[in-house]
Amino acid sequence: MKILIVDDEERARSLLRGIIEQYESENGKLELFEASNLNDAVKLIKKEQADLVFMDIEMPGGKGTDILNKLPEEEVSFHLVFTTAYQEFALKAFEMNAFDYLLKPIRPQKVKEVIKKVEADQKQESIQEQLRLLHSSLMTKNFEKIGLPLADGVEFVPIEDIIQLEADGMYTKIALKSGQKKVISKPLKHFVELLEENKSFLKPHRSHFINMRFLKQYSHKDGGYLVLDNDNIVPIARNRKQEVLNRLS
Amino acid sequence: MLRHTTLLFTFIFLLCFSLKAEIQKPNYNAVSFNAVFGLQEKTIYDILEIKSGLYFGSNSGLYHFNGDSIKNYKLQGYPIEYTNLKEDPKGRIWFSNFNGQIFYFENGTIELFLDRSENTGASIYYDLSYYPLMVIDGSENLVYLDLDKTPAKTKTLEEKKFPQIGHNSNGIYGISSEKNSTEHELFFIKPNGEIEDLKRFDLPDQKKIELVVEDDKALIFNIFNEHINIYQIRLDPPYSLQKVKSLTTGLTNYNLFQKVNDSTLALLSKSGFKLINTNNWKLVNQHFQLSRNSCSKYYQLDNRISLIATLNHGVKIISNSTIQNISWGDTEIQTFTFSHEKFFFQDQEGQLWELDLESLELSKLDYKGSNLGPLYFDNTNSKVLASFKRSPFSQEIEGKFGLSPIRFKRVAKAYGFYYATYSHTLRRYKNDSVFTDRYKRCKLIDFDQKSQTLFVDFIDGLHYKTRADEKFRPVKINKTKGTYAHSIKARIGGGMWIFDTNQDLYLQKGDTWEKVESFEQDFHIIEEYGNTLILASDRELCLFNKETRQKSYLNQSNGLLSKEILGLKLKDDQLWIVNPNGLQILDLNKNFKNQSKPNLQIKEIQVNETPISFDRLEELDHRENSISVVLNSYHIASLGKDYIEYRFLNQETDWTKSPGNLSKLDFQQLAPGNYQVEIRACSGSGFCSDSQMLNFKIQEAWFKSTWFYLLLFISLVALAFIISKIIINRNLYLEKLEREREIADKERQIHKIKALQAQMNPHFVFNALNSIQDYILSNQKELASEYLADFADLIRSYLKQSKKDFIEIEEEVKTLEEYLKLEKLRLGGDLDHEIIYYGDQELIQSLKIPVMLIQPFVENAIKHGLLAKKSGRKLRVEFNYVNQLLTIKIKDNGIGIKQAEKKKDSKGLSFGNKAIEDKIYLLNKNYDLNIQIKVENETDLGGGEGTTVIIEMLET
Repeated sequence: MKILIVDDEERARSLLRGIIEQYESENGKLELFEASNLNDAVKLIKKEQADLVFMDIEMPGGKGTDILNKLPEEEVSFHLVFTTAYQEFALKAFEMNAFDYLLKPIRPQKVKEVIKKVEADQKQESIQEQLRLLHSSLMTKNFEKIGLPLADGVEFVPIEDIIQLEADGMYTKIALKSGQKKVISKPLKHFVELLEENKSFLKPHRSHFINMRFLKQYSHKDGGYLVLDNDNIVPIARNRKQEVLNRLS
Repeated sequence: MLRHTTLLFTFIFLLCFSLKAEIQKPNYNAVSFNAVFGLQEKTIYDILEIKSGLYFGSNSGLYHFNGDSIKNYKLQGYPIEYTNLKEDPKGRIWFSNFNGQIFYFENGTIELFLDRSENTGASIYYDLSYYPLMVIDGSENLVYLDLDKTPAKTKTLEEKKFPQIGHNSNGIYGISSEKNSTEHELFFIKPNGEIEDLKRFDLPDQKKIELVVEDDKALIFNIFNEHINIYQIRLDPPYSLQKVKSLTTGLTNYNLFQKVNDSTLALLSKSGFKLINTNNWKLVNQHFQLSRNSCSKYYQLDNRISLIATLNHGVKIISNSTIQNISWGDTEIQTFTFSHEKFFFQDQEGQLWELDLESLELSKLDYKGSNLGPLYFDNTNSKVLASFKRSPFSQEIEGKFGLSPIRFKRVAKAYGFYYATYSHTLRRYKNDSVFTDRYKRCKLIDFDQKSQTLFVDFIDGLHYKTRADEKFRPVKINKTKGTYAHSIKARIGGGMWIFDTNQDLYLQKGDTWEKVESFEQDFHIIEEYGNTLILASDRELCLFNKETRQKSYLNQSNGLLSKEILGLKLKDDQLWIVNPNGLQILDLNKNFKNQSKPNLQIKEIQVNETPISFDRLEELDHRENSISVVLNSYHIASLGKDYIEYRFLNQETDWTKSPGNLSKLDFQQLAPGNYQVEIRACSGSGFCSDSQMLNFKIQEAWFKSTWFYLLLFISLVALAFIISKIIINRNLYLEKLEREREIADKERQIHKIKALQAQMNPHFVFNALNSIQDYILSNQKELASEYLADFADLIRSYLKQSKKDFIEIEEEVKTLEEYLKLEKLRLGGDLDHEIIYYGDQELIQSLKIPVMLIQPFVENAIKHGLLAKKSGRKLRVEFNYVNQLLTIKIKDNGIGIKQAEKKKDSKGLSFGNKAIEDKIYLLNKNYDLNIQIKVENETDLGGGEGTTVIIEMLET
């Protein structure tokens, strides 16, 4: 397997290299390449047909996502893992677009998991669309769509088309404007974290997260509940009632 | 004398005009009659009350007040300054002016009766008690008048110089004096006009004389400025003269010495008035001087209110003299307590005082210093205990004052302990040993002697316990909900009064609570006097009769000096009312007996504003549907609180209060039908007149105007819509303003909270880094990397949380786990921890708590409890959520608080504790959480002393 490490900092590359060499010593040989900027990286990808690319998101001379503009679509067939230090918005962007990422300082265990995953041939199908959205999110600091990881890939739906999200154990049921319903293998918490800054979304109950654009009615009967445009009834938890009323007014 | 009087009044007039030019300061001792009822005239000479109402003789004619409005009458062509108002048996009102004319008032018009202006040009003395009427005119001519006949025969008293005149049932008595002489003469005018000289006597100085005639004696007042020598002369032979008393009144320039009743004399002067008790010759009212008022007449309207006619400020209403007022200049009462005989207080300068409740003597105590907190009279050792605010005063004052060992708001004695409420805890003490009973904010406390039950009002409601009970149990009047009290009071014979926050008054009946009455204001003090409950709010006193359920009010309109009622004390039949500037003593026995019923008569019926005869009422046509009932409802006793109410008998409606007007009841746009209306007048104290019945019938219209009702309906709906729109918009705007203000406020506080959080972290940061460094040096790279990443995760969580105020417990626990992982590393792996949820785990995890609330306590548990322990360290965090109360317990099996205290060089719990305290203080201030922290020196974890920290908060 061919692995490419892209980072402008020598120390960061050497750390990743060290971790991967550690993995090699236990699991067998890998081919390692390194690039310190985006242009070198593009050349190496074309030349070496890398299977796995660890890409720093912030580099002088261009963001990691710019790689999108430099490669023809058919050549984007590698597994892309971004690395980043603390940058809250970027983390959210990765989550939102269902990208793998590594946080610095890097956990050796995580690196090993990623390599194992690629070895088991779980490559992303086409990351072109994913990358485009990630790029646009990072540029505009705004999210239009959210990536829903499904069994067969990632489906991107416009955030404003989501009517409600409902917890179902470790799964989340999502109702869309189109009437479609999705069951996603992520806890509701995951989506709440991604969308809680979005002013349209409200959590009236621990198991419900709704888009207020689709709010049809508020009733204070039975301790208060909300009715959505799809006629679903959403209860309001007693300890959230005040917050809900504040948001509604 | 009469010329004299004229001069006096002329002088008063001049004085009036000069006073008018001054700015009139409001007089807080008495409400101005003028302002309440619209009597504009400032110069009032006399007051007369008869059946049809109150009459005032004034500078601008005669005024009649019928209990509701004021009317003015005058006779053109003659001077209209009227005085000497008297009623004759026919109900006519007689009065004179200062020009020698006597008038009477009958059926709304004034007639001239006697004109002596040619002779005199001066005032007239007359009295209606005798027949024929005896009049003394300005030239000191005695005139006989038959009330129904003119002209009259006259007789002259010319030899009597400067006479002072008074009368009793025998006739008229007078004292004449020679000018520049100390010699005086008492004479008597018999009903037949015969004059009899009774006695010549000397008074020491040439002073002004006033005379008051009683049945068997005459009182002679020899006046020199503020000083009066009082003499008494028997009115039967040998007419012995005796000096009774020398008095200093503080008044000058008397207008009138007026006999009020057998034991009371009113001194009315240009500088106010005083009442004198003629039995002991003491001044009755200490306070009501009305010092800027030139007083001309005193009239006791009923047993609570008196009127004072003044020559410069109209009519003043003052409370009855049975309210005694005590104040001392600018003294403000800051904190106080009563013993059985004394009233102790501290003034604004820190001086302590003691007032004897019997003699009213005020004496300074030997302490002047910093402000004390509440005081409590401890009757076991007859000592006042002071809760201290800042610097405690340690010395005892004359053996009367001592410092309480703990701070308190209120104290109750129970089971041999003193229980003290304070803002965070309920504590009890005995011989300086202090125990904490409950960590809850509490305020009210009282002990029921009979059932040996202690009642305490905590932040989470009213609780009680008996001696055998270990814990307090909530009082549950309404079975399910807790009870929150404004005031509580243990009864002397056992049982409790509770006035709750729903403004309902309850009485304990065995195990149940009986609702006694609902009120419309918050009462913070309850006292019980026989059948009467005395309740104090922040504006008035309510005297509620348990039997009749009648309520009387005492407020600033009828005698209360301040609406701020700091405290009440019942002593015998007296109620002592503490206000910031002094005390008032209310004689309950005199004041709240003999309440009188108001009087109500139907005078006239108007249909569409035209008077009609009563027999027409049976056949009103459909357009005659606006009916006004003109009432004569003379009753003024409780002033602004009186009202008219009515009900429709055939429709079985409830009594409805008529808005405003006491003299007219309007029924507008009545539907066709038979009406049977019952009307009555009620005084504010709950006494109602006999009902008056009124029957009438409005006939059906010949057409059924559906379109009209439709139009009416539409316009009403439109109006309601517009009004509701306006109200909604206004409310929204006000809410927005309020919210913005709150947000600004909170933000300021939140900044502080965040700063405190920042202070907590670095301590741990460097310890953790230190542990990781150890792995690097001992060449365990992989582990070092893992821990470094863990560390980074934790810092990320902290950074994320610092932007929030509240997080869900689930997230806090996640961060806690990250944190504990690093601590475990530091402790070489010897740390077992558990997170336990009692009850619905998912629900608990979704609850929100302030950020960084638990972590500091966990950090403390490790630092002070577990670190010093050799092995087997255990830590457990438990969450429990019951009845909206979230309890978080942080348990460790470490060395325990006491050991930890010993181990440290410095005192106090730890570096973090002050910060935690501040943080919780700020949180409690800004949010309705009521966070309480408790520490227990034990755990159920085993293997060590252990410590449990319990955090409680409300999650609603």
